Amino acid sequence: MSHDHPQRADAAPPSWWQDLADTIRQRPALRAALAVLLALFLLAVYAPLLASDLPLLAREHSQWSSPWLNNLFNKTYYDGPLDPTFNLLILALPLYGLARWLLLRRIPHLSRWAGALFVLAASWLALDPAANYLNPPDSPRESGLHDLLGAYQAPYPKGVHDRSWQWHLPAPIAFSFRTTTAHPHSAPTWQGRPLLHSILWQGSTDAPPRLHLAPSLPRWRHPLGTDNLGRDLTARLCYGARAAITVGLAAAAIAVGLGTLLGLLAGWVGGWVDLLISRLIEVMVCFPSLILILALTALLDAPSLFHLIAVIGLTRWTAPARLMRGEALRLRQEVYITAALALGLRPREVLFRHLLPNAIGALAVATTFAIANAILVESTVALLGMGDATVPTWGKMLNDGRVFHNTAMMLLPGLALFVTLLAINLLGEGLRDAFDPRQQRQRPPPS
Amino acid sequence: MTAASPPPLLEIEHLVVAWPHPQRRKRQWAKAVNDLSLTIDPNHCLALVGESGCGKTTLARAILRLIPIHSGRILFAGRDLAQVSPATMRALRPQLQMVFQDPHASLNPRMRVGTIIGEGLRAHRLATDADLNEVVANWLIRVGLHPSDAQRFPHALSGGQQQRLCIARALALRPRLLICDEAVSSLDVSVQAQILSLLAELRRDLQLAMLFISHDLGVVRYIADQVAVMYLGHLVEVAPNDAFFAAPAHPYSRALLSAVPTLRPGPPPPTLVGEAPSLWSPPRGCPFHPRCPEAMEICHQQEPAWCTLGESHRVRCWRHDARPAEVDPSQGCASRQA
Amino acid sequence: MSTSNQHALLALRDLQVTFHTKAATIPAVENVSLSLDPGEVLALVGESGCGKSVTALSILRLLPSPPTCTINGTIHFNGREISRLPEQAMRNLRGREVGMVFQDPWRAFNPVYRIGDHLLESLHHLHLDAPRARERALALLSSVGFPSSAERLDAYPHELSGGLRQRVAIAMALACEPALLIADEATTALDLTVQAQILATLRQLQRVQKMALLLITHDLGVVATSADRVAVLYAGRVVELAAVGQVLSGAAHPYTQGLLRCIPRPERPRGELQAIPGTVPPPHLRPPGCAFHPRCPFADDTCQRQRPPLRDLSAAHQVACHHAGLRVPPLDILAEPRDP
Repeated sequence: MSHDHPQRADAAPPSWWQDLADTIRQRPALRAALAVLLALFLLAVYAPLLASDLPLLAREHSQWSSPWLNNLFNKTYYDGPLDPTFNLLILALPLYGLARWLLLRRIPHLSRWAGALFVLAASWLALDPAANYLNPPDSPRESGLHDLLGAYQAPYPKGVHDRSWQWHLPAPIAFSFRTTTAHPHSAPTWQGRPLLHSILWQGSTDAPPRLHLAPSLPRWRHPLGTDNLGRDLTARLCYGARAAITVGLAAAAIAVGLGTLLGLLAGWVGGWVDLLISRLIEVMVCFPSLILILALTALLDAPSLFHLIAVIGLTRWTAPARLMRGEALRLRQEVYITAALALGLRPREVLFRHLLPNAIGALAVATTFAIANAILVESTVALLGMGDATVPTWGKMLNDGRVFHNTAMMLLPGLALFVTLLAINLLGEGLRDAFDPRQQRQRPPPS
Repeated sequence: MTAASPPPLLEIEHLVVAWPHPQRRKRQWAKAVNDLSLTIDPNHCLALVGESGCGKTTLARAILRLIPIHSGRILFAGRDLAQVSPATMRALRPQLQMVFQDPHASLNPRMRVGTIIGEGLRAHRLATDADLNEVVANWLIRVGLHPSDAQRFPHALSGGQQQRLCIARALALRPRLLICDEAVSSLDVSVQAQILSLLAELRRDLQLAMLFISHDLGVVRYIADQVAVMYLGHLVEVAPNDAFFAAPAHPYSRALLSAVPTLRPGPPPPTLVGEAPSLWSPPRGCPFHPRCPEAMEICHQQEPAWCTLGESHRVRCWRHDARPAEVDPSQGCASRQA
Repeated sequence: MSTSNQHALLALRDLQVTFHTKAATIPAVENVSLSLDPGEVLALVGESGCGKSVTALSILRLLPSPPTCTINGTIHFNGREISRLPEQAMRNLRGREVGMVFQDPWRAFNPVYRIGDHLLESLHHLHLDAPRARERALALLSSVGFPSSAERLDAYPHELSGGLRQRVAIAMALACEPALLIADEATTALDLTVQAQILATLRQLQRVQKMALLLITHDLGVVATSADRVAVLYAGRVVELAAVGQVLSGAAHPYTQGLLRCIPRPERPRGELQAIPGTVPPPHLRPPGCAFHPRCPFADDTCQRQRPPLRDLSAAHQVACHHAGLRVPPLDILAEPRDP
């Protein structure tokens, strides 16, 4: 039997991950976008490290403690599950990186998901003892990781503005997103002098009643100024990134997940299922989605961020659905799908193992744009005053700025939104280019 | 064939595969496969020849139940494939496998070679996870590839190698019948020869029955035991290989054979005129009569019946019908010159 | 008929076509020299990657322009050197003096225009007025064997079958009565009987209009029935160039012999197929020396080191092989065993 001439091919067969990596390497705009998004993610995760009114390290009566670490999972302090979840990542990320680098290189069969779970479990075990070890002896028990899921209500801790220690190491910005100070509407200053012409930072002087008024501190401690309640804008911007990421990812996940499921079903099965789902899509598309979202939010008395995420997800699934339906219809004709059916695979196996991986390109692009869309919609809803009042999202900051006529309060979150959405859109376009030529492979010159 | 010959592996009886007209109100049907009956014996290679639109690909897909059947029976090892439930059909699929025309299109571009071969084995539990890699490697060697190719993607292989992979994928399930739908038509001539040799060798080793669909009569001459000719959804002649190429009986078979460009220099024999009619308006009587140089009066009116010419040689043509009365062989009417 | 024939209609000398991609530089065609006399049929035969289509496309400069693709060497047509001709002059050449028919019957047509529109467009070189142009279009259709021409001028391409579309494509190529027609695998995508009809039509038109025909194909049977001379290409080079009868009765190059032997033919008895071992090397991985030597049963050290030039074996028979006529016996494929 004659053998084919062994192909002197590349060392490793190029997969589409490598195609993607090549595209990213070639386009500077895409590299910049990825860098911005990575910076945003790190900013969101490490926001408490940057801006907190609890000292990172404190010494009292010759006892070292870390009030910051002790209160990472304090539900009272953070008011809601969003921040403690992100705080989990503060420690989990470096631990995961370390574990991957050390362990998985030596144990190649350990799948990376097992590694991640291991790291999360390790950080859970590590944090609790660490938190308790670093407790000063005479203070009440602070909150640990397992209290996050339990009913324990830790007391509201006192921060750098409410008590003093023998020695303490504050965070770079000694304010949290809720700490109010004596400087409402303060402009950015450097060494005591205002940075820009004060005309830009003129605001209304009648501020509403203050809460938790902190003692007076020099103005320069607020690098970007404060809002009407004297809350530091830098801190709020950093914590706002958390809300943006949460809304973006979660709402996009719901929308794309639901849309993909329905779209694939419609395209693959066809017949009356397709008819039904397509008509459903058309009915949903007829409603202007923003109005629909506002109407649904108005039905709820106090819409929380998670209500908003659910609403956005449930109204924005039509675009991915149509896209995946088109992909399913197109790919259904491919010969390898028929070949897979001829092999005797079940239809659902063919759908998920053959059809879906080949539609990943369109899916990835749709997801990216869905994320950007979700962030924008949430900001719009918050700007109109109908968002979650307790979470410091960028849209809420925009709204506050609008209400109190403070330009800095509008400019800064606006800029943050602009940069984020630009980066996501650039990423989406880059992904689209990376996946498109893959599907229309370059044909070799005719023989 | 002795009296103790084994029962046929595949028996197709009066199969009809038809498409309804897109405009429902017309109530017309295009019969891609029209009342076809065919038998394939075990360890036997039957070649199906015909031109585009004759229904040979439709027949192949109908046998595998990849397209719906209008009526008829497909008896495979005693069971009627037209009637079984989808679950039973899925369980039977390992015994009926197919190799497609375009090897590149029939391979999932995002799956590695090893996974492509192993997928069927795993789905039908024909190999345990432990020895899956070994089985896959053995099959790769058997079809002329290298075991290290298991990690590659299909687009890194040449056309001939891809077709070898498709053959391995089909044969790994140990089928009893292999359908090759124009499996070598899209390959280069020298690669075609290699793949044909491979197929012939594997057929001998694995005792396979084969349904080989092709439009290339040279390939058919090499690989087939029996030849069946299709025209416009009808089977018009079935003959053993030697008998078919020595003396084809049906005028269409003769026209096909004379249309093959031979290596003798000089002008070729006269060609068939016109083109095949559309399936939506098939001619009355014998489907070939508008183009047939030997058409008679009766050919316009009645579909011919099967006549046996010799051992396993049957043809459907009035010219070979020995029945008297209605047929006057001396009266030949000129076919309509298109 | 050597390549230095002064009266050749088309003469390619040392033609080199190279594609420059990000991944590699691909030498598709290397040193191809051919000539074609007026009224002659020359067949270019080879498999994938041999460069036959690229050669044809480079004559009319239909390849992507530099720097993606560079063409070196000379192309003489009708006494003029056309490889460096400006684009405007090339446009006048295409369609008027040289016509081309492609493999895919769809490729010649814009699906939103009717057949009549396509034909009239191909007649634009002649600057005829409307009624004369229409007359000529109808005449063209009947000359290619198109049934009932009058009503079919209004048909759209998708309403016709593959064979009919190819006939219209031929009519379009012949509209201005070119001196040379290039048929690039024009019948490969068609059924056997339709292929036979189209080839017969091409031969008849070629005889009537005294047109030269460059037939590009991979099918040696088509070559035997339709061509006068044949050039066999392998890995971007011409390995054998001779009259068809000479190739069939005395093929000299081992590749030609291999090709002739590995084609299964209906008139031969059932037996083993003699396949050529190995595969055609991809264009950027061609071996040094003779490109065929890894697969050649007669190869030796010379073949590995030195690339064989195209030399005259006899009058009008050229071979690119160090050992042709010596160690490599000529093959008479017609004398091979036939059915009793």
